[in-house]
Amino acid sequence: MIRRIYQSLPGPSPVRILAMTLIALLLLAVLLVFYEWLGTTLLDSGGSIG
Amino acid sequence: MSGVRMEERVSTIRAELPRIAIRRGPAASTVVYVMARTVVVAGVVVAGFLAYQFGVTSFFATRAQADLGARLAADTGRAVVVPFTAPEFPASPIVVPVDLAPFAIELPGSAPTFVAETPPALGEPVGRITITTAGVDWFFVEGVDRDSLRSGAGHMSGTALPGQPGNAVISGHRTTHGAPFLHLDRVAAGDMITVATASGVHAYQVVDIRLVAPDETWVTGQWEGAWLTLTTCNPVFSARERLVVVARLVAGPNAAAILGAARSGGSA
Repeated sequence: MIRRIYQSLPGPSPVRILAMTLIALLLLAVLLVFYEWLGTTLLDSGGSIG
Repeated sequence: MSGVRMEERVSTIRAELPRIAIRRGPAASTVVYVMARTVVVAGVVVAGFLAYQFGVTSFFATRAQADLGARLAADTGRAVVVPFTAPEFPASPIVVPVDLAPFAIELPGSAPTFVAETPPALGEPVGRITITTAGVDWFFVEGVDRDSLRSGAGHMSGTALPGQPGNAVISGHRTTHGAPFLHLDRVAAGDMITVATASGVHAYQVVDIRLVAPDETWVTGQWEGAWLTLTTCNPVFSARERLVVVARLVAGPNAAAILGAARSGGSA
């Protein structure tokens, strides 16, 4: 899938690599937000009341 | 069956095999391939989640502790000696166990001193809480919002500060972010809790331990006297309910002033 996304990107290799890096960082940020939400919702909210 | 007919059948089956492989093989292998990929991706996501929650959050919370200690030591000027005026709060709904009351605190003959303290900004260090029986020794910050609690434990804004009249509420993580309140369930009535803030070191005695729903806000109410309420998630690995430990002030720079006023009013 990663190879397919890379191949579908326009431009020369450096541009593609940069775009792939940005996509990876974006996905990582989304994943961390999801982890944070899941953790505070299900695992440990910090124990606050209300 | 003769040998010739058998050979004919074998060659017929051999001729059919590629077609069978073409018809069945790719479909079946695609399903297996997709399933295997899904399992691997799900495994990586779950492993990442566990590593983030138990490793990354605790790493940053523990690292923040050293910084909070240094900032707290440098934080002077929030405490000032003033004449004590008891605020008008309702009596506490917490019933102190008979074998714990009354606590033998000595009240001075002259007017006791009182150190007033103003809360710091959100996210700034408030103090250090120590509970020997629960293995708690942690700096806590102002605020119980998500960002403030990244350092592990926080004082609920709007409630009294520790050592001040009213009910000081401190919430802390039990599983993640360093898990400062992991063993809060080991606390028993009569155990001592010390909280060091800008106004001094305040000693509290545990009088009540209970489980409540996350929306039971009465536990954060302000009551006559001086109380400390600790809240954390329960059970471990779940945010389903809250473990609440309530303690009463028994010693410290403000104990005589607050408890003297409360006694003449009739509580704590």
